[in-house]
Amino acid sequence: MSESGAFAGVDVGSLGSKSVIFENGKIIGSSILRTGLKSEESGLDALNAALGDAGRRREDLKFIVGTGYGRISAPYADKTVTEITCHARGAHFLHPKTRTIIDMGGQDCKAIRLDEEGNVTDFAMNDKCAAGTGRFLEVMANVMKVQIEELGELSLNATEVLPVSSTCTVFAESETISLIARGERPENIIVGIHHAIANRIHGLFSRVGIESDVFFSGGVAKNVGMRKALEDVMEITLAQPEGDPQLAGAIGAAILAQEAWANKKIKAVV
Amino acid sequence: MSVQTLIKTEAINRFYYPEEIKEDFLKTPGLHFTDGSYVDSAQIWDFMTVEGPRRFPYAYNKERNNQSRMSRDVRFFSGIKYGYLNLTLRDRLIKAHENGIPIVHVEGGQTVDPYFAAGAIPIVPGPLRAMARDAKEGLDIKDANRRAMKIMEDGRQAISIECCNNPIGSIEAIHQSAVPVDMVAPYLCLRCTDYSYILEAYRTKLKNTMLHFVDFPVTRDGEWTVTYMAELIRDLVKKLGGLRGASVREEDLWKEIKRENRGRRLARETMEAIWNAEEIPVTGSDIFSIITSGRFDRGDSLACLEYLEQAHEEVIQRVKNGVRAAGIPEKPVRILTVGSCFGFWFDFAEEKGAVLVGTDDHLSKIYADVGEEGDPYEEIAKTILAYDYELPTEQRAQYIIDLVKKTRADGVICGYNWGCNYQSAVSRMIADIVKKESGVPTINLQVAELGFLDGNEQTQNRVEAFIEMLS
Ligand code: SF4
Repeated sequence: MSESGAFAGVDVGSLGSKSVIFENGKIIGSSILRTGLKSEESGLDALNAALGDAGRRREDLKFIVGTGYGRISAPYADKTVTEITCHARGAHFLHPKTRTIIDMGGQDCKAIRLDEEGNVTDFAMNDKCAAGTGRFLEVMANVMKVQIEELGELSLNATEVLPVSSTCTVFAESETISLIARGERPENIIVGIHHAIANRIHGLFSRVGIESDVFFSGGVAKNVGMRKALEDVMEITLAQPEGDPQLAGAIGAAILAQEAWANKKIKAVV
Repeated sequence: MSVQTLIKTEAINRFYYPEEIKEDFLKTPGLHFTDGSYVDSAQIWDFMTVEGPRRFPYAYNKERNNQSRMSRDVRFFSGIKYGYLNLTLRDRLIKAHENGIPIVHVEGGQTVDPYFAAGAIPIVPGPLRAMARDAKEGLDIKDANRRAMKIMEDGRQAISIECCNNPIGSIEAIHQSAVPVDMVAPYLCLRCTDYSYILEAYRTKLKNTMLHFVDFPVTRDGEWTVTYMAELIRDLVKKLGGLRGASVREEDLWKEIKRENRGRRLARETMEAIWNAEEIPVTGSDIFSIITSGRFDRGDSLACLEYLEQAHEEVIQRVKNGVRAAGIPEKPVRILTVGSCFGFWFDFAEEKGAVLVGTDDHLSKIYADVGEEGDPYEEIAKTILAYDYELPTEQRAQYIIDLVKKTRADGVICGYNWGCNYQSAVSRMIADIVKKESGVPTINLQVAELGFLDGNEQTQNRVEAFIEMLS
């Protein structure tokens, strides 16, 4: 269904704030910014940046859906929806054959199952510990003294996977420091870190199950090392969508904004 | 934010009973209490509209995270009376204690008939912790929450960092004399792993409070368990009577058993009327009050019974008239919760399109009548041993599957508290069996906010996503 007019989705996560502008069933603008201390401001900044990218003004928007942890402080949104529902809709838009989503954000990781229309049928989440999240990679990049963006590429040069525990960030950090002290190759430690996260995520799927195609969404989905570790550990092949997987939540929110607007119109007619 | 804006926000966030309902409310009966006293509806109204907001502002805060909010369905008058029982619990227990009535700390999951029959007042951890928090009055939600957390953290430091919030909160509250507890006397039933911490507390915190554990034969294999349990209840009742220098007669037990059976029956009938109604006639908050009153946890079995009588009448009337309670969405997603000491955010769920239809733990208590013939101790023992909630896990899952059918639930939330070892071990198994055998979606949640008034966004996020999935 494609409603005329522009619709926006704003996804304020713990590390990144994303926004997408949707018009005539297409993405016409988007933005990804670092989340600041005030999530309301971060969401608005992302929204304005996406509007700028689309060449539209705030008045052009018919409906805005807010999602992500920052949605509780999103007075600019007409409606809020959880990121689980939004990721499902966004992943379905980017890759319609998606039946399983691994969503790895800054502070949590989610296993989401969906039907052929992009509706959530089951989910499981890890948000009690940083292990298995983007934050874990940040901590480890710091320990390894490299930029977070470099971690993935470096891991591809590993000659062996060194075991690192998957249960706790603090334990994993001290193990990593020991491995460095022992003189292990940094690439082998880094691939071990990626495998630790993949192990953790694999455990999340024991309840909800896995069905192809598997879509990897969230900021960490751009990390090639993480993609490879997930494919190795979970014995799966990840889908290769054309769009940006970090935008999946914001895309889903924009789609839901369009649907909410259409429903509102139907109700008004009835 | 300017001072002016703060005041405005405060005013918007406050909940008041509207004057226009007063006249109708005053026509309704009041409540009798076991000490012979009676409060009429005018006294209840005055308390709930003047004294309550002044002494316990947090309870009138409309913030969606507030777990102790009053039911927003102000025309359900029994709900206002339950609010009264809630907010006056501390005053009533202090008065009772001063009059020589023993206050006994018990755990959830046990029939309280023998305690009331022996002239004592049993009190479970949740209300006990709330009473300790309420020892300081005039607090709004943030400060009340901070006070509750401070009590828990003090307890945690001395007892264990691995314990769930319930025992550490109540032990510390007793230790600080924030609540007048004469004896700690829980059953050692299967559900709770944290009794060991109560014992541990006797080294450090509770040196001067009497302790009496009532053993629980978890095998429940045969007649001997009934005789054994009956003997333990006899000892307990004797000891409780001894606290006030009185001996407890069998007729005292029968009187209490009959009263509580009537209350349990009313709670059941009310809940069944709600489950079978076309429209949900009361809010989740009132549903919870009806279920928990059927286990007489507000310090007075007679007042709880009268509340249930009035609630029953109102519910039946509403069902007959096809009334949907204020705040209940059209065609709500019906949620059954599973697990011990697991709170739920009624208003939040209702705002998101769902309603709580029951909790397996508390429902098991209102479905457990005590036989009214034979030996009262043995009859109580049989009931304790038959609690559905205390059954081995696979059987408990079957009980939940039956509840799914009865309540017409669309989804089941299995929750357990951080530190609750037993429930954390069984929760996922239950979620999986119930999902597989009933076909109803389930979710397994670990929560860490037991006893907090607010600050539970992560749990709410999962609950909200679950509701969206079922919508
Ligand atoms: S949460 Fe578990 S361990 Fe804690 S009091 Fe409740 S049943 Fe016991």
